[in-house]
Amino acid sequence: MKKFIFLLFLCGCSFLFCSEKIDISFEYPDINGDFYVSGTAFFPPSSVFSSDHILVMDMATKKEVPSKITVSEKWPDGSILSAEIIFPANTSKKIHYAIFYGNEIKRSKIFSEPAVLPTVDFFTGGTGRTAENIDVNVGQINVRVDKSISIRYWWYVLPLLVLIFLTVYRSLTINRRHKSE
Amino acid sequence: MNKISISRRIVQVICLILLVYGGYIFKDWKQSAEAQKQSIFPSLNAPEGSISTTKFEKGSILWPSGATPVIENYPPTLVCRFNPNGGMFKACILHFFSENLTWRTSIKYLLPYITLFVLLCFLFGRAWCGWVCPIGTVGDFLTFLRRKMNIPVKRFPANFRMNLSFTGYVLMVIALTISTLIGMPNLARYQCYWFLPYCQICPARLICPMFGLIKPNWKDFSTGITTTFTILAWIVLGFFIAAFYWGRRVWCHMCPVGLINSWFNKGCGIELHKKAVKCIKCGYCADVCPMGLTKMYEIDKDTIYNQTGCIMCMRCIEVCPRKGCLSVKFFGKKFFLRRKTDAEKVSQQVQ
Repeated sequence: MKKFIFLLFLCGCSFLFCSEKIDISFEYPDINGDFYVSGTAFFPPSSVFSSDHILVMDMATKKEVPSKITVSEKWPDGSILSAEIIFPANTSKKIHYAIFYGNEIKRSKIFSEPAVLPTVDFFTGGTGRTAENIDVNVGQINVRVDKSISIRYWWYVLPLLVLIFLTVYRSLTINRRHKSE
Repeated sequence: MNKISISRRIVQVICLILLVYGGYIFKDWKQSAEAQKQSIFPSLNAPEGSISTTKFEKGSILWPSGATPVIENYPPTLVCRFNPNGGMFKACILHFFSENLTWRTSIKYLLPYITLFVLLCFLFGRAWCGWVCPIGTVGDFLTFLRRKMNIPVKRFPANFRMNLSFTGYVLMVIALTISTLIGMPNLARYQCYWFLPYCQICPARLICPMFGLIKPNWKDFSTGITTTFTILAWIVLGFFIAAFYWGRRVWCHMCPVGLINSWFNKGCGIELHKKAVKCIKCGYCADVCPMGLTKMYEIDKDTIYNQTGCIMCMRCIEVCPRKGCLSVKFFGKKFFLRRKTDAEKVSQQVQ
């Protein structure tokens, strides 16, 4: 039991001492040369308090990539909720990039003056909030909402209740037979 | 080996092949999207903003080897989502609840699936565990290896088994609570870490892909959460192997699917009967029970007694030396009696 508690303690410690990583996935554009990758990354509460503790890493060479990080939203405790991240990439080689964050992370390569280059958006899987909204005027759209009651799936309640009743009834009668015998 | 053991082994092997390799065997039978719309089982898809197993890439813990199952349904046995090439059925019932709690699917779309599950449990109870479960078959194979190596079986006390069931319920409740919480819009950003929490530690996730020679993701140390899940999965897998190797079907006491099936065991169609007057208290039934149940041996009255832990393997009936002492009925219709011994056959002929 003590060993099990110790293992659980080690698991707990791993939360405290591991720097966190977010994988970046994006589609390479159909051009040759440099381009910028931009997008918004989300962070759990109390995980990172300054943009200096966030960096983008080239996972092939394990080297930091110069990046521009702008904090967009903050959690009530002052930690970063979301940040806009821009970094340069090149179409010559498809590289896997990742965002690392945490108090032990220190960003050293900063760039602030992006040149005019084509930009593609990255997305960090699972958040469901990374798609950019584009407003397109398509004129008037008529939507009809069908509010009539459909029992297409609700009627399954009946056989379900019957089956549950039969299970309970049988288990009780079997026990009663057992007592009488 | 007796007839019933042989038939059970044959059924187990056929079910293992069908459930695990069904994705390869019936790959051309996969339902089209149009046919699925007409089906009485509505297709359950992740809403926008939620994650699903198909969105996980190779290398992540929840990568389901990139294929969809033949039938999108959930039988009451441990069918794993991580079967090679999608497998025959989609997943186990815990996966179903966990996934749909996160997706906040309307209950009306879940009803057909739940009804079918309850019907199958009502008919056969935990016979699904003893006769169909592919993970149980793997476990029985480990038990067979132990026997071949002449390692004595370890018997666990009733308290230990009860604690295992309690642990199984606790893990199930934690998993379903996490699944519900990450379904809330303000916690949706954690779905990429906490999606299907039980699957992340379930030994089936690591074992099933290997049937198709697909390497499961053994480790992911990229974040604290994935590190924790990796270590927990190793601990649970270690316990799973030890439980089947040193004991018999010890894992089945904490398997969440088995625990849900056990709710229907007492009232299910399969009934175990005992005629106490014929019992000579030899204790063979208690000795051979893979679940370590002794109640059938202890009862001194004529009775129908389905215990919640019983997996209906019928080993007790098979080894009982007294004719007519133990029998199995299906809704009152007798379909298996203990075979007659040679001495009984001779005495019958003499009479």
